[in-house]
This record gives sequence, structure tokens and C-alpha cells, in this order.
Amino acid sequence: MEDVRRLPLSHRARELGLVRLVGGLAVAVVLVVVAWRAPGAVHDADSGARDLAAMPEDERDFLGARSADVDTRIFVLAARKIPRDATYAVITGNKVGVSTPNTLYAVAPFARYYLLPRRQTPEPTAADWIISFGGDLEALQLTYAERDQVTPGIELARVAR
Amino acid sequence: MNEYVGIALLDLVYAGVGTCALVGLGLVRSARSAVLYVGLAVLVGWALVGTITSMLLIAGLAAVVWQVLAVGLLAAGACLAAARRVPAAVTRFAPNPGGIATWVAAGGAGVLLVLLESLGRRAFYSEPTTWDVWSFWLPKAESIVYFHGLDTSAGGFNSFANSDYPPFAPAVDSLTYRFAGSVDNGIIPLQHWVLAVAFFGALAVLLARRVAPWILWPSLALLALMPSYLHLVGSALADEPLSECVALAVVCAALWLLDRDPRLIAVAAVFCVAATLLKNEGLPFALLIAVLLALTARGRRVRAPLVLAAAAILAIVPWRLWLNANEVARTPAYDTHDLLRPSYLADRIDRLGTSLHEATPYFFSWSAWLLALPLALALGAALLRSRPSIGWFALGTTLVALAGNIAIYWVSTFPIHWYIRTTADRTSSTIAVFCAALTPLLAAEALRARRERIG
Repeated sequence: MEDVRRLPLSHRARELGLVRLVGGLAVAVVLVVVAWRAPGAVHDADSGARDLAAMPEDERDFLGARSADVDTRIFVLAARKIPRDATYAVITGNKVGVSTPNTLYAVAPFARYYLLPRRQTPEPTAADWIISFGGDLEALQLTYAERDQVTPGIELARVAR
Repeated sequence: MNEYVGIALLDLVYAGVGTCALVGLGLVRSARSAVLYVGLAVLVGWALVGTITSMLLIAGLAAVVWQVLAVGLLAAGACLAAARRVPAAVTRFAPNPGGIATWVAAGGAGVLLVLLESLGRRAFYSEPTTWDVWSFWLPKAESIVYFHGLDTSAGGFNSFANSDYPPFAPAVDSLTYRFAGSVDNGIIPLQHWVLAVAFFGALAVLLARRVAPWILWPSLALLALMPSYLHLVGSALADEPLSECVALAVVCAALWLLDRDPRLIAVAAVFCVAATLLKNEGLPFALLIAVLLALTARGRRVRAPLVLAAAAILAIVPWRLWLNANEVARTPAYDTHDLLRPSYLADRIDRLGTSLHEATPYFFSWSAWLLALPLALALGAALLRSRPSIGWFALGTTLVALAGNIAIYWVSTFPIHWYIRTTADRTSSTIAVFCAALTPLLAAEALRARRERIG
């Protein structure tokens, strides 16, 4: 029988073999993860699309505010009543119960998003309208020409000029 | 005009301007190459038009459609004029070995297509729901349309949170509104989805130079499958285009290290500029890519990294001047100068421990980014001897970017647990996406090391 001896692999060859092994393992991991995760990810994206499609459009408009559990009826009312060239301010306070600490923080920015081009001002005294989400309208010492209550503690008021 | 027709026209404008740029660079010179490069063309065009729109806004213009089109046409004309001097690139794509590799490639591409189609349907019905999107990103874009540019009075552009962020993202979203014909936020997710599709097309055509299809398509499918990336697509967060711009710049830079094709640096520069104008963290990413390129190219080719760094710095100067002129307050979240104050850092050393402990897991999270970082780091480390430039580049960009994120949490003035909890899922996105985009290239180079030796 022929005496076959394996020649010792050079350090460089072993190193390149290791690099190739890591590359091969990486590709194998990629293939396994893709095969494993793809069905679930496609299913999730499909059901997300179905849920959104089944939702009325006006409900989709308020998903952002609802994630902070804000009563969105005040924005619908404000959009209907505040003229597009008017200014408004948002006040918040403890005159309404909220379910998350973020609810009150969300009111002013969501109002800005929903009510543009109406300009939001941080100064109630400079505003034509006040959106009160649990705030104290009397404490502002303004005279109001009109007040609309959405629910106790949530109000829209027009400042008398 | 139907708003979907409007955004289709906008994307045609992006594709047109981008194609002219690629023709100028010599990457596109035939109908076939124009089709192959259409994804990259859309994103290059979007980056160029977005940069132009940002500059028009900073200059005090309203950036209405005719102004953007006029400057875009000028830019496209200049690119076409350059085509007479720039020779056509000879681009060869890595072949597939055949046999089962063909099925693997087809399977990966199939998964990617099915997923993108599902995401497209979701984007069609979606409305922006993320806090940052409705609290400042989209109101900024709306204010550009309603108040005819960067209005600085009450309720205007700089009255929103993060008023020092550069204007690129609101600028391109304002273009979407203008082309759609109304400020309809329901159209925004769909437009962002179009950009995401273009992103995969761009990655595919760039990586195909060196990555065989059986590695490329499953790897792109893996990128698309990352759970946090799935949430990012169509979200209208600026982190979505930022991660895509940085990933494309990193991929172009890595390919340049291997191919030495200066066209890739030009494409990388376009995306570095867009990243710089998208968010404050865009400039550090652009500079990181430039510095790492300079270091890993070992001083042989410093001109290309210099071009990247100079383009990013020059792009941000007008915005910094605008901020100063309008006395806009910088973000209170952090001041990067604090990184140079040893006593400040020492006083808050406990925050470093907290950020290492709480923020780092976001980057390595399986439920967010699958194995994006571990795979890129393992492959980068494996390539340090056989392909040192790209190995060090991959490791360096990932680790320095990771360290930079941790350092921001360290020097920030915000309550650290809240800050990490509310931002780390987004700040980790840029690093995770560029790691996932680099993975197929690193894997292909690792497998090629052996083959070249045998050959």
C-alpha cells in the first residue's frame, strides 16, 4: 500500500480556511434565519395591512393621538370651528382624568400636527382660541365669546376681542 | 390630479435626476444599465433633490415645485455635460455558481419581494403614528407648505421640538405634499415605502459587483426581515432615510476600498450629504466613514476620504449659519463639546455604566435587529488578515458608531433611563441597517479569500 502522508497545512492556508469557514457559517446563519422568520414576518405585515384597511379613514387619522389615549373629539371640534388663519393656545391640567402620564404631553403637539395651518402660540393671551384639556380657563382671566364642551374638563373657547 | 399620480411623478423626477447623475458618473450608459440602476437612481435623485430643496429653503425661498424642478434640471444638465468627459464604467456582476445556488438566490429574492409587497399594502393604508413623526417631523413639513418656507414666527418651522435639526426630511416630505396636491399625511408612508424599495434595488446593484446572487438576495431578505426595520419602513421617521443613506454610503465606501472606483466615492458623497442634512447625527456618521476610509486605505488614497468629509461639512455650513441668524436654540439633549471636558465626564461616570448596561443591548437585540451586528462584527474580525482594509473598516465603523451612541447617552443632560428607553430603538437603527447591508459583502469576501488562493 502506498504510504500517503498529509503535507502540513501552512499557517496561511489554515487562516484562509478559517476565514472561509466563518464566511460559510455566516451565509448558513442568514439562510436559516430567513427561512425561519419569513413566514411570520409576512403574516404580521399582511395582518397589519388588513387591520388598517378595515379601519375607517377618520379613525386612522387619530392613531397617533390614541396611542397616548387622548380624547380626539376636541381636535375634530377645533378643526371645524377655528378658522385656518386664526391662532390658538393649548392649556392642560388636572381637571380631566388621564390614563397615561403622556396623555397631557401629547395634546399640544398633536393639535399642532392636526390643526395646521392654524398657528399654535404658547401664550394664551395672544391666542384667538383656547383648547383646554383639563386646564383652568377661568385662571387665564380672559373673556370668552364662546365655549364648547366636548366632555367635562375638555373644552374649546373663543377669546372675545 | 390624483395624489398617487402626483407622487408617481415625484418619484419619476427623482429617478430622472438620479439617472442623469449616474450617466454623468459613467455608471449608466445604456437602457439595460438604466433599468438595473433604477433603485440607485431614485435614491441618488431623492438625495440630490432633497439637498437642493434644503438649500432653497435655507436661502429663504419657498421651494415650490417650479423652483425645485428648475434647479433639479440645472443639476441634471450639469451631470449630463460631465458624461462627455467621464468614461463609461465597466461593471461586471458576480456570477451565480448555478445548481442549488440558483434556487437559494431565487428564494431570497422571493422572500424580499413578498415582504415588500406586504409592506406596500400596509403603507397604503397607514397613517403616521409615531410620536416624533406627528409631534415635529410632519408638522415641520406641513409648515413649509402652509407658510411658504422656513417661517420663523409663532407656529412656524422652528417652533417645533428639535428645531435645530437640519431641514432635509421635512423638505422632501413637503415635496410629497406639493406633488400630491394637498397636505395629506396618509400619502407619506407610501412615499417612504417607495424609497425603501429603491433602497433594496440600490443595495442589490451595488453589492452585485462582488456578491454572488445566492449570498446577496437572502442577505437582503434578512435585512428586510429585521423586526425594527419592518416598523421603520413607512414610519416617516427621519431615522428611516438616515439609516438607508448611511448604509449606502458605507457600502459604497467599502466597495471603493476593494475596487478603487472613484465613482463609488461620488455616490457615497451624495448620501453622506443627505445624511448630514437629515439629522444631527448624520454629520458624525459621514465624518466617521471618511476617517475610517482614510485610516484603512493606509494613506494611499487620502483624496477620496477628504472629498467625503469636505462635502458633508460644506453641506451643513448654510444650515448652521441659518440657525445662528435666526437665534434658534440648540438641542438641550446633549452638547458634543462636553466629550472634551474630562471633569464633566468624570462627574457623570455612573451614566457611562448605565448606558453601557442599558443601551448596548438595543444594538444587539435579536427581537429588534436579529443578528445584524454580531454577523458584521464576526465577519469583519475574520477578514482582518486576508482583507485588512475592509475588515478594519467594518469593525471600525460599527464599534466607533456604537461607542459614539454610548458617549451621547453619557454626556446628555436628560434623565438617562428615560432617554435610553425613548430613543435607543431608533438610534440603533442606523448601525444595525449598515451592518446588515455590509454582511453580504463581508461574507462574499470571506468566501473569496480561499478561492483566490487556490486560483
